[in-house]
Amino acid sequence: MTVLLSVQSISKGFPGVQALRDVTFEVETGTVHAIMGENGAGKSTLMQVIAGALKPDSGRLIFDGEPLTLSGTRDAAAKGISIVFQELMLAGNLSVAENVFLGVEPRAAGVLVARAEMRTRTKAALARMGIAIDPDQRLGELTIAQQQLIEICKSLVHDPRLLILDEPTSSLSEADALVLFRVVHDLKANGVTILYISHRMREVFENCDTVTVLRDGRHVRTVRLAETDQDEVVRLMVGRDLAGVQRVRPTGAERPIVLSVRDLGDDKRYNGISFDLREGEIVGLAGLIGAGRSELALGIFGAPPPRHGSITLDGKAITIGKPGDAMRMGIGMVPEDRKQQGLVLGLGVGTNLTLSAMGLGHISSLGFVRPGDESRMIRGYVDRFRIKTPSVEQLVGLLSGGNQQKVVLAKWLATKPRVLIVDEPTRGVDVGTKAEIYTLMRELAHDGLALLVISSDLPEVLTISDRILVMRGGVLAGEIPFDEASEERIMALAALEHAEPGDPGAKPPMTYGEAEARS
Amino acid sequence: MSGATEDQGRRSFVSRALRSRETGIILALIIMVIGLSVFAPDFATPDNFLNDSRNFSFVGIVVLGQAMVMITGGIDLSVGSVWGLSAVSSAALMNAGMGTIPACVLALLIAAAFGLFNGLCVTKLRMPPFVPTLATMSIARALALVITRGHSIDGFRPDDSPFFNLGGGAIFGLPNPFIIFVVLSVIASLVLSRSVYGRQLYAVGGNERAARLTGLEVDRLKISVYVISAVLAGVAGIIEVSYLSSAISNQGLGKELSVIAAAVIGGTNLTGGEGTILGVFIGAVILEVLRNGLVLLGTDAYWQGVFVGSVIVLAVFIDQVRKGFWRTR
Repeated sequence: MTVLLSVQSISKGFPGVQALRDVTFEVETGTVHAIMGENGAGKSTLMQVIAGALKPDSGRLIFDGEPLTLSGTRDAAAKGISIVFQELMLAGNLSVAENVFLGVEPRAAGVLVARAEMRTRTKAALARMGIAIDPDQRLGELTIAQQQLIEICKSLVHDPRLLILDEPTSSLSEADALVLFRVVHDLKANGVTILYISHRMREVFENCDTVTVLRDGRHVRTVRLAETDQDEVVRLMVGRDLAGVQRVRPTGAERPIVLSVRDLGDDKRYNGISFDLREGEIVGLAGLIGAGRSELALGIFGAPPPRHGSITLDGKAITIGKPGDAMRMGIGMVPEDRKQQGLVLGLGVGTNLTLSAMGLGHISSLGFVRPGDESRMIRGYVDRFRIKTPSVEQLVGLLSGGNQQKVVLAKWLATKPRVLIVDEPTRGVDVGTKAEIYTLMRELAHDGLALLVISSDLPEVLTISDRILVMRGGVLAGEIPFDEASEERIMALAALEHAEPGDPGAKPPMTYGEAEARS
Repeated sequence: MSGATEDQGRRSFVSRALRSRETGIILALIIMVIGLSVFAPDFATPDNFLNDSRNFSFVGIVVLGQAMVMITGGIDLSVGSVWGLSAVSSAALMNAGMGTIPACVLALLIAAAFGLFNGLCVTKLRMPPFVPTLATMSIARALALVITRGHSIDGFRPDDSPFFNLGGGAIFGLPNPFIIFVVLSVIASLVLSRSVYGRQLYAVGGNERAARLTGLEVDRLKISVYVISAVLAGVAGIIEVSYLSSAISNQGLGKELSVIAAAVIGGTNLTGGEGTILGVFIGAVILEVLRNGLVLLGTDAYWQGVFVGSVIVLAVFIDQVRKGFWRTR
């Protein structure tokens, strides 16, 4: 195998933090090379150096045998290195073709955009990727997964030899991710080398050839995936043996029902949903993205309230018209997207943490905050959740994803809820913090809190849940008790559109990642 | 970590002061005052200071409300016109024989109605704040003209009426408008920094969706700030009528720009979530000291706008530098 890219002693510092220290490794031509590491390990910084978005302080890059100096991402693209960032950088108001050629529009007569050419070339590029999307469609009308593919298509216009994908699946369901992997494999077959950043261990093992692990800005090891296993990679990432979070069998004692939902529906995204939630129980809510899980959760929380059905709390029928009602009755919700829905990024850690409790008047008299009670509350949760922050006044937007997630959890626990709905508890959170969050949720359940945990991460749902509800197409497809739970069972319920109960021939339409390959 | 709160206590006063957004503009104000005292002999006189303190109070009172609107991510363009409308309506009502207090209260209720209208348009009708407040800016100004028919309203109270004390009088030598401004500032400052309501305003401006999902009554909070802004504009109008002993339809004309300028100089973020009362207070003072200083220095009055404009850009630029310097890692 020939080496396409050689990273030699790259270091990069920012004021107050050394992001990369003396990183050296090689990427072979025509491989899918995974880059893994905890949040803050330096993955994104390294990728930005390779893609020309950042200049290294020292060290050099050898690309295809030649030393490489880059003046910017545009320069990198011209030399055959393209990057697809984690956050979508697309304009929702423009058409697919306009997005693909944004900034590099083919010209007619020097100043005009050659629309016809743009359209044909986009169509060709999409066809090459094997996806059927109309180039004239407005981008905003596409699903997130499709937009992610358009983002890749956009980088393919430059005919890259090295394509960097920074956590492309972080907001995709497993089914959508499969389409993306197919595209990745096609690209590889066509000789494109791919650097692939991901937190999802399984998808790395299924789709990549080699993995490079970074820790605290240092290169730990580059190894062929065939020669290692998941446990070793985790160990390399965290630098210690992670106390693996085990499944814990529910005690079986019948606890009283706290929340009872009957026939809930909004006529659009979810319908006829009924389930019970018992005290001290963690119930997983699985399903594909778009199955209506988050909408259901928001419905219970009154944002907006459902159009049909009834909700009972502690045996009393309740009406929730807005989030404030739910809060006062003891229902909390940690939303799916902490940056958009959970936190005020421009305010401090402490201010965010007390925002919910403050709304309930827990730490105020006559509308004015009691500073002593407030700082006690903040200190208590920062200590208990081990939130890593230089000060409680630090802007919450500057914390790592895992610590931000802890702040959102703390914010809701401060309201002393009876029921807590947690939507995607560990999305974009590193392995170490993930384990902490699981332990925390277990403790809370032990103290009597009823938790409904929505997650698209199958191992997560399996690990954390006492039993699992599965939604499909807006309805409850089934419930899986603890002893029968497996990834196959969940995926079968979540993805099987036309399964007849008792039809033995029914098989999932796709092999969902060969769940058995794991464990 | 457990050391977080102690770290914060240990942080030195100096570093805190440097991080604070107000430090820059306080320094700018001090430099301006010193410079003007040296170069404009008439500047550093008690009379001039007292005069200035009255002058900036009118705009200052309105800035308090504007800052609250801007903290929620909105803007209120109607304050100048609401100022004019409540000025002429209070005078017209007194002229028509109504008692001083009922007339003033009614004038403030009219102002509040405009604020309520703005707030309802922004929340229930989901209009961008620019639109309804631009509309009410036009409507309120027109109504002021309808009431006065272009003439001034004078002689609605005898010359020795206590009403004129409100804007023209003084306590311990300090002009009443200034005292009112300071008292209102202290209240606003306490509300914004210490009350649940104030904290919630910042949250709404910082991330409205998150605020909603945290159970805040976002619509009610937003409506309230437009009402407060309009009422404070009305207060400024009434005090000005008392000071001038006369009301004309173009009172407060163009003041929305001074008010927004003062808020921006004071460090209020137009996109919401940031701003302090101390900041906008100083912003209002800077604007008046600048105007007054330029006059005393004998600068061509036509050039004034150039200086004011430059100060706005400079103030925001300095704020950006400060943020860039202290926040990015």
